[in-house]
Amino acid sequence: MMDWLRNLSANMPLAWHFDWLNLPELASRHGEDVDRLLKGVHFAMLLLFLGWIGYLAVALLRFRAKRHPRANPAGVKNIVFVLVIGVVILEEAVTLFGVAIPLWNKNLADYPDETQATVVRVTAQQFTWNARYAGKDGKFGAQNQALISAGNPLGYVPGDQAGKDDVVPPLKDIRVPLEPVDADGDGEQDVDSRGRPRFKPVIIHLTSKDVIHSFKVLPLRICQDAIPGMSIPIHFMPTREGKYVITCAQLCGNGHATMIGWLTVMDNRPQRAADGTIVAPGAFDQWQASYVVGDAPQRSFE
Amino acid sequence: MSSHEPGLIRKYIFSTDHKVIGIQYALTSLAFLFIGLMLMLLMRWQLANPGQPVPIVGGALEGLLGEPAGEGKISADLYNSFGAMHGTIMIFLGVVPLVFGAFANYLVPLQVGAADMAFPKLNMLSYFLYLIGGVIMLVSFFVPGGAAQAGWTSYPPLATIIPTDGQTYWLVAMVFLITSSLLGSINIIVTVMQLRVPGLTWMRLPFFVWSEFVTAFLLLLAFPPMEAGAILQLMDRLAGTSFYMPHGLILSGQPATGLSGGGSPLLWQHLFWFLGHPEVYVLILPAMGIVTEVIANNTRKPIWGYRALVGSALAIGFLSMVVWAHHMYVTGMGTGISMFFQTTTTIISIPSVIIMTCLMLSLWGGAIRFTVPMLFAIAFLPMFGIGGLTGLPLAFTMADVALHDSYYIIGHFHYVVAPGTIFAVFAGIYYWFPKVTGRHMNRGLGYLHFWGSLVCMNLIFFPMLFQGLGGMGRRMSDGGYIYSAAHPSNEGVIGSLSDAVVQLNGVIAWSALALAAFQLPFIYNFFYSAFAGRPVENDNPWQATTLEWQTPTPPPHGNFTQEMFVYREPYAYSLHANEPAGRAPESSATAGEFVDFEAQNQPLGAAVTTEMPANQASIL
Amino acid sequence: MKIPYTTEIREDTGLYNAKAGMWLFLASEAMLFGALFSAYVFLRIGAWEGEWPHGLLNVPIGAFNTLVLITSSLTVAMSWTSLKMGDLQRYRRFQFVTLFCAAAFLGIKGWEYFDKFNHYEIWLKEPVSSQEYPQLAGHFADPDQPVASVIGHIEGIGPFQTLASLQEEGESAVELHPDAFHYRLSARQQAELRKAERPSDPAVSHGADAEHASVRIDLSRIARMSAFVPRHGTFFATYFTLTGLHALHVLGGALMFAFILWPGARMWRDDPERYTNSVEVAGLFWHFVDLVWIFLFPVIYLL
Ligand code: HEA
Ligand code: HEA
Ligand code: CUA
Ligand SMILES: [Cu+2]
Repeated sequence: MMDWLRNLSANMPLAWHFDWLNLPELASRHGEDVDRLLKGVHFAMLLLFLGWIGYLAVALLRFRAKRHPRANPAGVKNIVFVLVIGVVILEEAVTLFGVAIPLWNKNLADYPDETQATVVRVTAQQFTWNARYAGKDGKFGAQNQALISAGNPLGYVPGDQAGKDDVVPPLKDIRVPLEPVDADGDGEQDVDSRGRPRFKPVIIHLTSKDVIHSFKVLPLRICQDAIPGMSIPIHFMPTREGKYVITCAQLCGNGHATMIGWLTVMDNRPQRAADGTIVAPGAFDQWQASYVVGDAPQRSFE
Repeated sequence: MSSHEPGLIRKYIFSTDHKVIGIQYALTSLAFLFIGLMLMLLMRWQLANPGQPVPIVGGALEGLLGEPAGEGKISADLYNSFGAMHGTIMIFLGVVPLVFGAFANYLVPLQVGAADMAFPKLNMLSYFLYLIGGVIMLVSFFVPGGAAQAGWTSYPPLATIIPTDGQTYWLVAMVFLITSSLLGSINIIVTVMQLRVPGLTWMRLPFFVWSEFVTAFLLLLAFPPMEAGAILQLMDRLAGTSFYMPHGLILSGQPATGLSGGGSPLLWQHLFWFLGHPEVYVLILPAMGIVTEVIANNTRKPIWGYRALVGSALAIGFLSMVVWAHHMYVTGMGTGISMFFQTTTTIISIPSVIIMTCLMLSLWGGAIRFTVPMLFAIAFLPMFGIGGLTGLPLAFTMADVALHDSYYIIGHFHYVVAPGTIFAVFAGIYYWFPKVTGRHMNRGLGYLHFWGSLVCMNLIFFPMLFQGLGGMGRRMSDGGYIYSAAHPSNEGVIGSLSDAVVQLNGVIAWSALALAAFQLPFIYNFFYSAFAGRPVENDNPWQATTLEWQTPTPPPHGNFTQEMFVYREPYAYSLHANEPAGRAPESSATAGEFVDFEAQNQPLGAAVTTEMPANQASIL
Repeated sequence: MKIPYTTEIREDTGLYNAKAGMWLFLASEAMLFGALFSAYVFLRIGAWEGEWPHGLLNVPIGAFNTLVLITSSLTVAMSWTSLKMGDLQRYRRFQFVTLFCAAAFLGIKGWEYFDKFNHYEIWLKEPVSSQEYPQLAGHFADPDQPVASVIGHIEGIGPFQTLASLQEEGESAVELHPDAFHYRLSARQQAELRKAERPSDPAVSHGADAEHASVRIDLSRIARMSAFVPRHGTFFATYFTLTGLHALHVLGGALMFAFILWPGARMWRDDPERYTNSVEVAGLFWHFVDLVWIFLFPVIYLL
């Protein structure tokens, strides 16, 4: 049953790709499901509304007192009511249990393996975004509550080995690579069950120094609050290069409107010579290389 | 009851008569609605022309509010104050006191045939608590730092660390308002439970009474948790506790060593939304009640599926207690919890659909009189429809991530509260005005008010849905300028706001201004008709069935001149329409006059004549 | 027309108005305290390892106060039955006891509060060792393990000082009379310490004596300090908020009774039934307040 529903939802004729919802163009894998859901629901809403409005128009014209002075107390047959409610309930049940919940649970469930993903720590603060990458060794520098200070807000231990090669880019500038996945090593980019090319997933650990912010990247169809005292991971699979707006989606003070940021999905194919030898690392790696922290616990751009 | 006439002050200010208190509530809350409207205009101006000095009133603003309004411009701080206060005032000081304080106070005792509320003194007290709360709220505009700036939701840590006493005033005011509505709801519930006249069984109650009854329970049970939340936030602000302050906060660059930490920002969100969601049904249920009364009366036929209505109202009452976290989908909740709240949220939409459907079906076969109240009531249906339907995508976490905190939300709930609840309120005012004042409101001005408001409301709120989908965030003090594609730093940035989306701010601003302008005929009509309107031809000008119309106009102290007894269901309209013409029942009409209804207190077995009425022309 | 069922009972609901109203009010009160309890649970579950203090509250006193309240509930019930039997004098006598209990409860609570106020906890930037401060022996489960915070009395600075406020007053150090034991030590550890003979320094051979030997701590070494007041931490925050709110309810109930007992007594002559009802309704409230405490006591004092 469940499968049948899921199947139905997958093949619903609603995943048209022309955009009638005015959403920004899509750049993530799970976003395709988000869009299908949005379009499906809005389509159903539209039908419901048109149906009702049409009925309303007819009723008002037919039964205006001038034309129909003597009201008929009998009223409509119950079956009409049952049908209408039935349709609405069915529609909602299918959307909820067939589409919305399964898709969301699936999305939460396929949390990627951190070693196989691009991992970023993003820390929100009034009114900007700090990012930090683990660097070559894939390990973030050690942290210590006691070291927290204005210059070192996350209490990174200065000169910590693992921390030396961490990468701290300028504020508001977060970048992730668009790397084709080739797990089976056949030199071909892997594809998922529905034949869609797979790219290296991204994991972002979100937290905040001061008040609640929210990390929303509409083109990626992600939105997650950054809550002080909590570190919350979100993940997505970028599917196309581009520079995308990060919106702060939670009122965070008088600078809230200015708390824009940019998340850039960039190419990371190494530059090769004619014979195929790598002559230069990919654009993303080069970018990272230029922001290694070194001994400073934290580069501050403020 | 008391034989001697009380003095003027006791009669009009410290009165314990539910009708006087109802009118006090009405005037006060309408005044607050008006303030909320003005705040909204200022906000819309700022959104359309970020950073431009406000025309005409700019100077006055600076004079009143000082530095935040420097050069007559609306600073970000001021904008946030306006946003928070618009929301707070509209909901807690405008609509709730209007639909619950005013309408319930005035009508429920009349409709259940009671002489007054169960606890008249308590009733007076709750009005004055409301007034005090309102005054504190207004005063907070003028304290150092200005009014609350953390949104009507007042999320800590922001609300706690924000450098203005306004937030403290907000909390204190809320405690007053909450106490007020607690007393009010106890009063309503007891009145309905205890004071129904003989014969008025539960299933003979007008649906309006049912809606207010359920509303009262929502207020009674959902407000206390928020009161608890407010107390804790007060402690955080005044006693330096850390209920909502986690460990390791870094405030303006410095570790907050003064604080113990160990609290949780999410705790507030749970306490707030446990009220917050039932609150939104407090805004809509009475509106549905009003619309039901008006539709029944103006279609001249019984409401379709009365029992379904009652059942749905109760269902909404229960369910609205278990959906609150659908406002917190993006705080990072696990699969189980989000499944639970997605399901409950979807389920709760069903009773609303049922109510809407019953009301729509009630139109079928009626003899619809397009009176001014009826126009507002009819418009309520599709308008609430849009608002409600746009709630559905929000109910699904998967879709909400794209819509959360965008103008889509603003569009969603304004469709429900503005052309929804506010229209229902207008319908109610036009409908019961004759009973309260003994005079009709001017119909021409009414039509002007209606069509103007209908068009403008849609010009304002429909574009918001479009903006929201396009990525326009709410609570942006610059109307999204920083995010616009036009902004130099957004060269070729995907997801920046297209010109179309941004320019809509202009359309909305002008429509908002027009909307405000279309309220003027109403305000004039309201006050003019109260003193010089066309006097009602009899006590029951709309030929309605419910008890409030079976008393002198306006109802005397003690409401009813003779003992009441109820013989039948609330909406006995046209029940004899297909019978041959017969005698007119003695009680409610003089022989020969057209009567297509039987009042609830009219003895059984009276047949009805059915010629086209002479005096109905005056209503058509 | 007049308002019915002010005293007589409506058969389909089985209530008179005031009683119905009070039940509803209690429902909302239940939601209020319910929410506060949930908040307590929420914060406690979220608390860091070892952050939540234990054994800081005076259990015997709390238990005694519980008895006091229960007694008062009894006397309220008795007084009401006396009225039902038309015996005003007996009702009076019982209500005196009730009011006395209320006063006693509040008095004791006040004393408990005050006892907390002059205890200070001082969190130090660098943990301190028992070598440096022998007087603090009661703080160390294991003498070689430095501790991050110390507790004790501080004379004459009042309950509400903070590090910042002291620095403003130009103080350079505080004089702490350490408590016998640090609350982070389990009861067992404390018992062991008592047993442990340490001839090396007699001062600490009995934890109690340690109080006399005071410790001088430089403000420069202090990370944070707070008396046992709400701002001390989420534990005391919830303790004071919950018990404080409850105490207000006790006060309110007592005032209600007092009003009915003296100014309100006129009604007994005009409308005895209504008078009895008012006592019953106030009594309902009182029992509820009592009930709340019966939840509060174990949750906050014992758990
Ligand atoms: C009266 C107010 C009101 C009402 C009735 C509703 C009704 C609903 N609301 Fe709404 N909501 C708000 C006021 C209201 N809401 C407010 C104020 C906010 C924002 C708070 C803030 O953050 O500031 C909000 C936010 C909000 C959110 C949070 C979004 C977010 O912040 O991310 C969600 C999510 O689930 C939601 C869902 C719903 C749902 C499913 C309903 C359902 O109950 C709707 C059911 C109704 C229908 C399904 C329509 C049925 C009618 C028909 C089908 C007939 C159609 C008729 C014709 C066309 C003629 N609402
Ligand atoms: C009941 C609730 C209610 C009502 C009725 C309204 C009514 C309106 N609201 Fe508001 N609004 C909120 C509740 C409400 N709002 C809330 C909760 C928020 C969120 C705040 C936050 O972010 O924290 C919000 C936010 C909000 C925003 C977003 C601000 C932002 O996010 O930056 C905007 C923007 O346009 C807006 C506009 C409007 C408009 C154009 C109306 C119009 O519909 C106004 C129509 C008003 C009238 C028609 C008044 C009629 C009455 C009279 C004319 C009085 C007559 C007087 C006498 C007769 C004496 N509202
Ligand atoms: Cu950060 Cu809004
Ligand atoms: Cu809600």
